[in-house]
Amino acid sequence: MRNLKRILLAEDDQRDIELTLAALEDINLANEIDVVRDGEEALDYLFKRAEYKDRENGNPAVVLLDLKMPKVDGLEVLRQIKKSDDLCHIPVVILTSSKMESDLITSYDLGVNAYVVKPIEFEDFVKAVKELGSFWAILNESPPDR
Amino acid sequence: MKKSKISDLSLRTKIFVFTMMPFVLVMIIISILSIQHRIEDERKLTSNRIESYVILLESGDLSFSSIKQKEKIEKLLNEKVLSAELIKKDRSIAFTTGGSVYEINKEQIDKAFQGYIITFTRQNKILVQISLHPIIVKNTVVGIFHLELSFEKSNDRVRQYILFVLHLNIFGIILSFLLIYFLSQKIILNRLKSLTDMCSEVRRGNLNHRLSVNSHDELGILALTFNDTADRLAERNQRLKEEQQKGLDNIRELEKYRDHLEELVKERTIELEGKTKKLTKSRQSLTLLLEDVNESRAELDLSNRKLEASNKKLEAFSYSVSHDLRAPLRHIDGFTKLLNKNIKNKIDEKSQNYFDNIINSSKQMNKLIDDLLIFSRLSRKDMKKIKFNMKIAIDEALQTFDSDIKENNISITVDDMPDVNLDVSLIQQAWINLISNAIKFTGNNKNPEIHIGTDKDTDGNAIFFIKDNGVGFDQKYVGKIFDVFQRLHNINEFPGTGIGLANVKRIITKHGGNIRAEGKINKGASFFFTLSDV
Repeated sequence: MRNLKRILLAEDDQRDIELTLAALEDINLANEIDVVRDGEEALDYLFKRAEYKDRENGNPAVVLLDLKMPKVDGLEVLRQIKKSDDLCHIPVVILTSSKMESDLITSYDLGVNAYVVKPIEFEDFVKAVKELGSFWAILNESPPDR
Repeated sequence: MKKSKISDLSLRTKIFVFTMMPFVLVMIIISILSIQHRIEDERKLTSNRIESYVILLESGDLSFSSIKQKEKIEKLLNEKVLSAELIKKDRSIAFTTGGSVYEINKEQIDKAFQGYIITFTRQNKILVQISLHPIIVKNTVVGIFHLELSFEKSNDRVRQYILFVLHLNIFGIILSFLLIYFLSQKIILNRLKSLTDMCSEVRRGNLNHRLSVNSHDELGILALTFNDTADRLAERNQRLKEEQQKGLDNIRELEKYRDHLEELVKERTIELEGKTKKLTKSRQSLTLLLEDVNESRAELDLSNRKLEASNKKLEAFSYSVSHDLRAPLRHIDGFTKLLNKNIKNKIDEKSQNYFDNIINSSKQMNKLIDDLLIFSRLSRKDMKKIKFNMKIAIDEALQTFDSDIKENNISITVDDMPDVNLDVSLIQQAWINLISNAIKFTGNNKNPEIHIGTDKDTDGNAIFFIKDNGVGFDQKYVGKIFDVFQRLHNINEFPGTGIGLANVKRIITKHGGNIRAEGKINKGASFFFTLSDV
């Protein structure tokens, strides 16, 4: 069995985290999921800083990124990822509660790989997360680590 | 040298030349002729006197011996006698004065016995007559009277006569000269001068001068004509003066008018100035007004900007609301369903019904949030119109309802549509709302039918419509049908937010079009709308 890459979920709302994890559980995803609660933590995780300084595993297979987060928002996290030579190839999926055109445009300008509005109905939400997970974590071939 | 030398001479000279010349000529000719005549007379007289003397001798009234008396003969003949003698038949000289000058030869004497012989010669330039007269007594020639006669005395007489004639001529010439001089002066020159003077007067402008006419000769007629001309000139002058006067009067009148006009102009100018002042005042007030308007506009701009800002704030607010409303809603829905899934086998039907109610309520709230977001977005969003085929927009909208249409077995027909200027996403939204409306209200019908078509109004503009055979509505509520949160049906029977049709109307109005609805209870509803094709 190959060593599967992790999935990074950056989400500040505990209930959203639970629902997302429930949805991902549903598809029996083998990948481990790391959760960070705000943008700063997400950046620390990705750049292996502070409490993630000694993190051993490599870059995640995909980053599921909420836009509205405390301290550093999702767009800033996205900008940092795409600016970094080490991280720019990580697929980033924006998972947000509502579609705001300016956010959408900025995200694509920064090089986001997908932009998903969380469906309100749980079935739809589960379906969306499943599809995202199976695509980015299973079907998609990640770029090799440097 | 000028050719017209004669014509350049003065009139007086001309008169003199042309009258005196022939006169003098005639005088000279007459004088010469009369002198000649006088000379002939003298000769004739002398020869007559000689004849008479001879006759006296023949008649014996004078004795032959008187021939000796030279002075007597001279007295009788009134001429100087050089010599006289009587020659007898025997050729001897009977009586003589002596001193015969010229020799007479024998033949001459013989001839003289036959008849009278006369010859002429000159002595000291004076004519001398030598005559031989036979003296006949009783028809017999008794002797020859030989006379030598010098014309000294007759010459003197002729000379005196010539002198006389000469004097007469001189006198005549002088007289005629004076006569011509004075007469020409009086008859012609003086009058000519008066004519010239008058001409000068006329030239100087004096038309009152007139010539006195004493005679009716040519100059008189000329003077008359001249006077007449002067009269006419004066008359014309008078007329001219009158007309000039009239002209002056006119000018004066014009000047009066002008003065009046000036006054009028002044009046008007004053009036105009007043008006200008008023105008300036109004302009000033207008400027003030404009400033006010500008101010108001600035204020308006400011409030516009404020409005824009507040709109943006509202937009942000809407999104955060939607985000903040959606997130808990999603959580409610999600956790309810997860909970329901976990305990599904452990709960009764009633509890399950509660779960369903919670789930339906969250669904309805979700729909409400969606519609509200669209509604608020419509008032802000700028339209991007493009030429687009309406059928494509409808087909896109219909895709949303694929499952509903299949489930409810709805028969949908869509006619061919023209290309229209429209904002694709907005018009699709409108069709989505209209179609979802139609599907919803045909839910009770066993054979639901929806017809989407197009027509043309009287002006040729495209009308689009959607007709269904659903529950319809009471036409008396048609005025409320497009109002926000207005519902014509019970929410339990036909769930809805009451915003859908309001959104449709907003979209159509934004496109410059109109929408209306027709309905009958249980006979279906129809919606018609137009779009401004600009």
